[in-house]
Amino acid sequence: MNPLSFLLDEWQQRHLLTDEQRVQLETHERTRPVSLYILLRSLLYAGILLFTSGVGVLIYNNIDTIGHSALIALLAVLTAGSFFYVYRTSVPFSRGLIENEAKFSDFALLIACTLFLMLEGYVQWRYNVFGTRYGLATVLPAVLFLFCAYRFDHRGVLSMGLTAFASWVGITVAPMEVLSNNDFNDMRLIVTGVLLGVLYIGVGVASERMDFKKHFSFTYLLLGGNVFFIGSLAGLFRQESWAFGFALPITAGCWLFVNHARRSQSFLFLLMAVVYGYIAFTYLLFEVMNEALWAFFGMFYVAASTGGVIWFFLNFKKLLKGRDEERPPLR
Amino acid sequence: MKAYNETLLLNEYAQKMAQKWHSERLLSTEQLAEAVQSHAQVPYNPNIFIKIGLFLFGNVCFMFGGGFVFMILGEGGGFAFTALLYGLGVTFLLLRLIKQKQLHFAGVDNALIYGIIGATMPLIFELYDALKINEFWVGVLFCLPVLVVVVYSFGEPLVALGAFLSGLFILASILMKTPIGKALLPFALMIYAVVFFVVTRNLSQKSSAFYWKLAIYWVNTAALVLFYAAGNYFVVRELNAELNGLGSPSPEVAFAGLFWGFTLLIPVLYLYGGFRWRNRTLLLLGLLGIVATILTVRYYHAMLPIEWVLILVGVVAAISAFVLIRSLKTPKFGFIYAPEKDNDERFAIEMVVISQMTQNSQSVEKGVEFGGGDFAGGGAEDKY
Repeated sequence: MNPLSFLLDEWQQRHLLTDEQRVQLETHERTRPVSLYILLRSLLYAGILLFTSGVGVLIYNNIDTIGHSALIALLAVLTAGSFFYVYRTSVPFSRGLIENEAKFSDFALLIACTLFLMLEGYVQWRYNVFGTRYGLATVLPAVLFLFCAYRFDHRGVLSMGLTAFASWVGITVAPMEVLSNNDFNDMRLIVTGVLLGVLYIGVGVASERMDFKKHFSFTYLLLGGNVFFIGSLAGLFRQESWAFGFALPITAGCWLFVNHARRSQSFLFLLMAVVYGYIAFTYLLFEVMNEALWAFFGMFYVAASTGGVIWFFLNFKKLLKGRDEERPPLR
Repeated sequence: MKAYNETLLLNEYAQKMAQKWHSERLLSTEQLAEAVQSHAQVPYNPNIFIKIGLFLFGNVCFMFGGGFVFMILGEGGGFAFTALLYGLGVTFLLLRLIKQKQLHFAGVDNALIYGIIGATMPLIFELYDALKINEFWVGVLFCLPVLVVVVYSFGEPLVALGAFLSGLFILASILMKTPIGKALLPFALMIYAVVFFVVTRNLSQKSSAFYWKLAIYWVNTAALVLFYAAGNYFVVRELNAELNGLGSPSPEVAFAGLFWGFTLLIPVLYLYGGFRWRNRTLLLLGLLGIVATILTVRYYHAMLPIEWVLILVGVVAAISAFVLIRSLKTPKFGFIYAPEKDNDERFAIEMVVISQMTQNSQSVEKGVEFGGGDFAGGGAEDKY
């Protein structure tokens, strides 16, 4: 007897179901169509990825016979074609989430934007169009992507735009590379990173408040929050007397993220606030603590405080209900 | 003894099903309310990100707590003994926590379960050392009872997978002692996989095994993967050369035709099974199996240059996906293409991928690097 019949038996005994309803439910479960949504989408992506890689290799091997100009022309045609398709299938602009009936429209936009990046890089490499004005070369895609993201309501292209914009000011925001690709020994870069984070978080919060593309705020906060917290932590870890000043933005950021998580029920932000806040708080504590205490008290402190954080996570629903505006690690 | 309260798990399942049927208009709102009321108590099931947080901090807490205990107790009865004592203490704590907070795989309990298993290891290690057996598999055999007990009482999927792989390792090690065993290795492993597959499949249909549902599913999937891998021609041939020290290029194996047959047929079998039983896992494994089979064939008989293979496979995959997406708008053969509800973790993953892709193709100074497949395949998974 499988769990389903077991459950239905129980319900029947409690007279929760009528007999025919039970039969109906069992047949329904047996014949329920299984959704292949994720599987098919992944297959489509994988297919396109393989195909383009193959074409890439093919072109690379035969570049002498094809010629760069022909290739650039082809790329340009493809890019324009994709943008045209997106434009044709698009729906009018709205402030909220757009439900587009055209199945492959959002997909085409992603391809169009990627093609544009490739085309731009290629043209620059071949003809040096931008010369040494790299700023222009990076700000152009950023502007285009952000425009497209808002016009066609596309979260994926928004994160492309925000990444490109960050490159323009010299920061890597790609989450896996925030640490490895940014030279956080450079004070100027730290400040830039923190300010960029503040800007993104600000725009994210504003779009929530003003109800203008509300669903974009997740992307803004996630990309912005990461670079903001990591930048601030890098500032905090510097061996200078004023480095402790970075504790302030971290505290403010944690407070904001905890509140946002509470309001929007997006617990990724709670996790970010707690992890980054915990790191900052622990670091500060060890900085001001007498070194003789480190070994003994350190072990005890980490065990006890992580226990405290676990306790906080298990009870945060109760804790965050009221006007409880403590920073989690301080509890 | 079962560490979690089974009634709560059944309640969770009942509520989930009731919600689903209610949203499909098969249950009235009164019936839903009644069902929820009669299965009121459910385990604490936090959001995925809270789980991650609990898991991370649970791990750190276990480690530093251990360090602290060692500092206080010193190594009075030897390292292994203290570790075991600590493990027992944590087990006691964990059971209390589960009872009080009604946890079920909420991250913190998973972290502590792994920790507890780790705490028993030093003792096993000392035992293994004391017995002076230089057979690694015997050490694994000593660990097995611990894993089995943990799987029985907690039903933790990763531990179940570990137990499955330990058994596999022990079997393979014993067989590799004799030449005849080496020859029979692929068949033995395939039989091992079949046994586990059949057992887990039967268990998954029993309501008495409901408690271990997730662990059963994981082991079942692992058995399917093993069944393909053990029969795959490439794996058999290369491992055969490796184990017998035949050097490279690896010589042809006995029963080559049979293994080619396995390599070609098993993915088809999986796809057919996935189609018949409407099982997504089998479909996915079938697709991955096809990829592995193509790679295997190419390795020994490269008929086409790699770029043409990529283009061909890519076109076939993309077109079939495209056609299926189009045609499955209305259900066919018990399958449908229906957008699933978006959630934060999907967005987060999608965003990370796209952002990485953009970052990597932003190197304007360097120009385009061909051959890397610069195309973003992140996933424009916005709702339609």
